Amino acid sequence: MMRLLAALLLQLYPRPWRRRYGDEVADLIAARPVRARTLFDLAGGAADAWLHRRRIPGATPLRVPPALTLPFAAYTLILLWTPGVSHAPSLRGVSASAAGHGAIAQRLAETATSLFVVAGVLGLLSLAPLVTTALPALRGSGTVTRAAARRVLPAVLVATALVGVFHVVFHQLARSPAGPLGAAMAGGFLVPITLALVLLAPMVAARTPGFAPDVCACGTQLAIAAICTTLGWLAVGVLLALGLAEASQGFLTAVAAGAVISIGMVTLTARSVMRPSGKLADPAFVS
Amino acid sequence: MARRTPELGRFTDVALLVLISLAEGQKHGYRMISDIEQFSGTSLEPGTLYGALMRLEERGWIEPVETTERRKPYRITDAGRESLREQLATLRRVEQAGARRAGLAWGAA
Repeated sequence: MMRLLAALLLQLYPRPWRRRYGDEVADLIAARPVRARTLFDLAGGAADAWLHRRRIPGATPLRVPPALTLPFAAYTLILLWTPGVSHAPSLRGVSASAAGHGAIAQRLAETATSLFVVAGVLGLLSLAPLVTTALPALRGSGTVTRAAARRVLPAVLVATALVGVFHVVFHQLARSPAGPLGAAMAGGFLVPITLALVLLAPMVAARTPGFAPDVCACGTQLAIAAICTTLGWLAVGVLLALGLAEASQGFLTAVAAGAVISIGMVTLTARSVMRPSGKLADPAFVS
Repeated sequence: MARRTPELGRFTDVALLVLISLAEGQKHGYRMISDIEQFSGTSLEPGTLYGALMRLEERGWIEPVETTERRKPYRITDAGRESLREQLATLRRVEQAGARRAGLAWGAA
């Protein structure tokens, strides 16, 4: 029984650790008495191996797939909407206080709004290269096969439809942004989710032969959108700093968390398309 | 015991025991546990031993010996031997300071 438990505990170790040391430890367990302290030691060892996974010889860095990370981050961002963008007392207070510094407050709010709008539009336009390659192929001309186009075009349509449905549903259900600062920040919450939904199309295209250049173009546009989003949050940050005294602790925490998640999401989205490690733009997958 | 290094953390002491064990020749896990128990009275469990082996291997202080057998032996490297020498020197200084302060004279009847 104790040996069986020990063997089960071995399965809790990371795969690279088991590949490297699993046989040796299994051999040790078989050759030595297994006591309660052996089981505790193995359980502690498993936790240690996970915590220090990069120390395992031959271990590659652990990568959580964007398909898991992005939905979780998007959900968190939606939860932060009300305490962030709709927190009227803090938003109005900060706006009024920032307005005391002159026209700069209004310019910052406009800059943030513009940057977020540009980021969102760029995200949607990033699908254009996929469409311009796929459409001629449907008519029998172009650089990709008809079958490839039939895979990518529906993905583009689904991604676009998801973006549309998300925005319609969200605007119906969520509370409206409060004041000019809330309106300026709203894009920072919505753009990352938009880009994450758009990601569906390049993901499919990256696995379809002939779409490699279009996926690269799409990745470039998403990267520019990510930069715009980051700059938008920078403008929001300066605006907040101008009226910091009027912001509540909870509001600041929600906005800071929202900004971090937002920038993280857009970066991850762009990186997933551009970096070979994300296996999206890997030549092995695209050609 | 030995001076702690951030990379080895709580495995510093176990790592020293492993290095001492391997200093006399290559051994696999089972023999290391028996040897360490014999010369230090410390009974190591597999999780702790392999936590230390992983760190020592990562630092290049020990290396596995190629073998077709299931039990893979490890040997100490030159860097590992140098580290062991430093750690033992530290221990020696600690032992001498402790003995002097406690008024102990080893070997005196």
